[in-house]
Parts: sequence; structure tokens; C-alpha cells
Amino acid sequence: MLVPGILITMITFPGVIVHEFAHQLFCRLFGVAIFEVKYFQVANPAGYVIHEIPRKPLHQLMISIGPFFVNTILGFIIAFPAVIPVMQFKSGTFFDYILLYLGVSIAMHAFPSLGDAQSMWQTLWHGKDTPVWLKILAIPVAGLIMLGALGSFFWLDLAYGVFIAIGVPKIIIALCA
Amino acid sequence: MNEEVQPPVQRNGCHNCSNPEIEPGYLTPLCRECRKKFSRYPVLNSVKWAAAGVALLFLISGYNLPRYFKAGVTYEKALKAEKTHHYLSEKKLLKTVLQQFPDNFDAGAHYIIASFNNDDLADADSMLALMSNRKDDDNELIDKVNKVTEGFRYFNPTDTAFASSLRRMDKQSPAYEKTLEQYCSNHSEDVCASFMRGAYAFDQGNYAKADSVLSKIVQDHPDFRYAMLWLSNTYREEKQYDKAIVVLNNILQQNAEASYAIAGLAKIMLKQKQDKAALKKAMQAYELEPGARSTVYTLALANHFNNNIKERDRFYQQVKAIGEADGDLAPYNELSDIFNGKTSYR
Repeated sequence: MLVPGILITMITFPGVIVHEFAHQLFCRLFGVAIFEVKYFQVANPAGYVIHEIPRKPLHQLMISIGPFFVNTILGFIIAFPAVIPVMQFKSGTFFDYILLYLGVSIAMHAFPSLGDAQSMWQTLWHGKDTPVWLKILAIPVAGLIMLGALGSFFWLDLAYGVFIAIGVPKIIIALCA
Repeated sequence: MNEEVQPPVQRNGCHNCSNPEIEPGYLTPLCRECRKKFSRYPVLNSVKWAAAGVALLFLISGYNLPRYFKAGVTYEKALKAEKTHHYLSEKKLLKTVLQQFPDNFDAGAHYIIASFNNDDLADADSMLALMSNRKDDDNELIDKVNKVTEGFRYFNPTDTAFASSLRRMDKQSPAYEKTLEQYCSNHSEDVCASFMRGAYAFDQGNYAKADSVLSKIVQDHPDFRYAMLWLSNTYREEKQYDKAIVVLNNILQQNAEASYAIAGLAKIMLKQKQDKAALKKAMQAYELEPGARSTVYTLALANHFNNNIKERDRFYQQVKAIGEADGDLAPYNELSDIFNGKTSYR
């Protein structure tokens, strides 16, 4: 059964909100002017942040990939307390299931979008002030983003979300044993 | 989901407030104050409230996290112990997990496996009774439990009438032996009855018969550790120490923490007059199960042969207390005879 992407996005909307918030957070961190933020909408794109071109190309890179870190860390932290009662002892409460849903939703939206990759590529690759090392770094980063975007056709984003929210806590518990 | 970059706009002064002092280095002409203001684009109140809700949920779940985390780690440790056949440790670990999650199927199932492999049938049986109405879809685990609990037949004669009539008889009476022999000749498939026959022969000092009966059982049922223990006792009394050690080591391969097998090795060492090594081994068994009769008994015996009279008497009294509690003072009397020189252990 083919599930439309927009439906998945609607179901996992908390992840979209956090994703856009992460862009916003990094803009604020680097003092980059923001002109508009759409945290979520039932359209394509499901959310966006319109900001100025940052002064430093590295800031552009961080703004583009910021959601990867924020969504991953937040998804992991939110799901962690719920994983043990739900997955290991099958005694989770309603709240635990909500946290698990939020954790997976947030972590699965960690991958920067193609739009993010485009903005990053435009600024870094074509920017005249971009140092060579950053241009070189931009190639694999853009490649990984593209792969992530392509992988979402094969549920890679969901697999990543489940891995971060459920798999990683389980690995940590196993390592502590 | 996107982040879009706004192209620069050509205008004199700040794009927002026309301040002529625009911040250098940016393509978008904004003064420092306006850039700061724009970079602090307000977060929607609905988003803030949602974040507060998630934080509250996180705090509620996080409150239980240390407890759950400890239980989760303990459970994983128990599974690791099971993999390495450290069933005593596994049982202890699962006991703490089950105090917190008494209805958890997996922990209960592993507890049965640990208890049975630890030859603690009463515990295995009571957990099995508790779990009889619970359902789970882990077929692999259920199969494992079923396979383990098949071993219950080693401890119950198939004919319950025979078992109860034998229980009523005096073990020293000729009728006891006759009934047992008769039943075994008609029910050769009854492992428990065969074991009783072998153990009876051992008790009567008929080691040749005990050897032949118990060897056959162990050969056919290599996971019947109780029969293995009695076979090793038989070998020990026949002075076939190497064979006894092999059997005890086979038990330890099945359960690395079988304290009675370690105690059995200590008893052989005492027979071989390796008293110091025997005391060390007896201590090892005792540390694993300080409340078990076999470990306390062996430690008393080992201290006796190491001339630690004070320690010997301490454990000797413990053997007596255990015997009084379960109504079987035979081991205590055995020790009394050895200590008084009535019987010679070696």
C-alpha cells in the first residue's frame, strides 16, 4: 500500500514543527534575520523558514543541518523514558505511548529537506567568500541530504526515527548491563 | 520543510527603518538593531504551549526513568547471565525485576528457566502457576519454557498412586525396596522412579547398583542434573574421583553456578586430602548459596579437616538449624558421626 507523503507528514507534524524551530533557533544563534516562519501547513512544503543570506557560509551550513542535530537529540531524549516501560516491560501508560510517538515523529524529521540542501548549496558552492574546505565539506553533506531525501521514499526517515527513539535507548541499556 | 534564503534588496539605509548605519557584511541591508529584532522572530504561542505540554509529559515519564532504567539494565544483565548459564545470578536479578513488574510475561518466563536450571522446582512451579493465564506472542520464549519444564517429569513419578504409597512406607523396610523394584521393572520409562531406585541403592551403600542405574539415567537424560549429582556421589564413594569430577563439571557446564556441584568438587578434594583447596572450593560454593544445606554442610566438613574448629562448629550449627527447619536431620547426624570419629570420611 502506498501511503502519501503528505499523510505521513500530517501524522508526524510535531517533527515538522521541531524541524522548522531548529532552523529558527540556528538563525537566532547566528544573528541571521528571519522574515517568515511557517511551523506547519497541510501543503508542500509542510513548513519553512525564510531568512536572509548569512554573513558567514559556515552559518548557512549550520542553519541547514541544524534540524538534524536538534530533531535527533530531542527525539531521543523525549522517547527515552518511555522506551523501557513500553518496549521492554510492556507496561507503558498512555503518556508513555504519546512520548514514544513524539520521539519517533521528531527524530524522523531530522533529515534536512531538499529545499534545505538547495539553500545550502546555493550559498556555499556559489558563494564567493566560501573557503575551499567548506566547499569540499558541502559536497558530502549535500550528498547525504540528497540520499536522505531519496531514502524517504523507502521509509528511511521513519526507520531513522525508530532507530533514534527506540533503538538507541535499547542499545544504551544493553551496553550498561 | 524548507529554509529559504531571501535575496538582497537594493535600497539605501536599513531596509526596515531606513537607518543609514546598516550592518556591514550582509547582503540584506539592515541596521544592527533591526537584524537583532528580525533574528528574534517570535515563536508562536501555540508552539510554546505545545512544547510546555511535551515538557510536562517528559517530566511525568522522567520521574520514573531512574527506576525503569535500573530495572531495564537489571533485566538485560539477567538475560546475559542466562546466555552464560549463570542461572543463580539470573534468578536473583529477575527477582528484583519482577518485584517492579510482577505481570511481565518475559521476565516471568525467564524466571522459570532460571529457577528450573537452578534446580529450584518449587519456585519454577509457582511462577508457572502464576503465568498459566497470561498470553504472549513470543513463541521462541514459550518453546524454551516448555522445553525446560518438560524436565519436571524427572521429579514426579508418572503413577501418582505409586508415589503416594511409597511416601507412606518406611524407607528401611523390605517392602519399600520391593515396591520400588516392582514398579521400576514394569515402568522402565519412568525416569523419576528409576532415579529413586538409584538413590535408594546409594543410601543402602550398594554403589555398584547405584552406579549402573544412575549411569543409565544420565546417559539417556544428560540434563537430569540431580541424577548426575548422585552419580558423582556414587563415583566418589567408589573412589573413582576422575569420573566424579567429569560428571560434576558437566553439571557446571549446564549451570555454572550450581553450588552443589562446586560443593561436590570440594568433597572430592577432601577425599583426596587436598584440604586447603577443598576449603577454598567450599567457600566458593557457600558464597553462591549461603543458605543451601549442601554448601553449609561442605563448609563445615572442610573446616573440620582444616582444623578450624570454631568455624566448623558455626557451620555445623547452621546445618542443624536447616535440618530442624525442613525436618531432615540426617546430614547433621552424618556430620556428627564424622566429627566424633564414629565414621570415617576418608
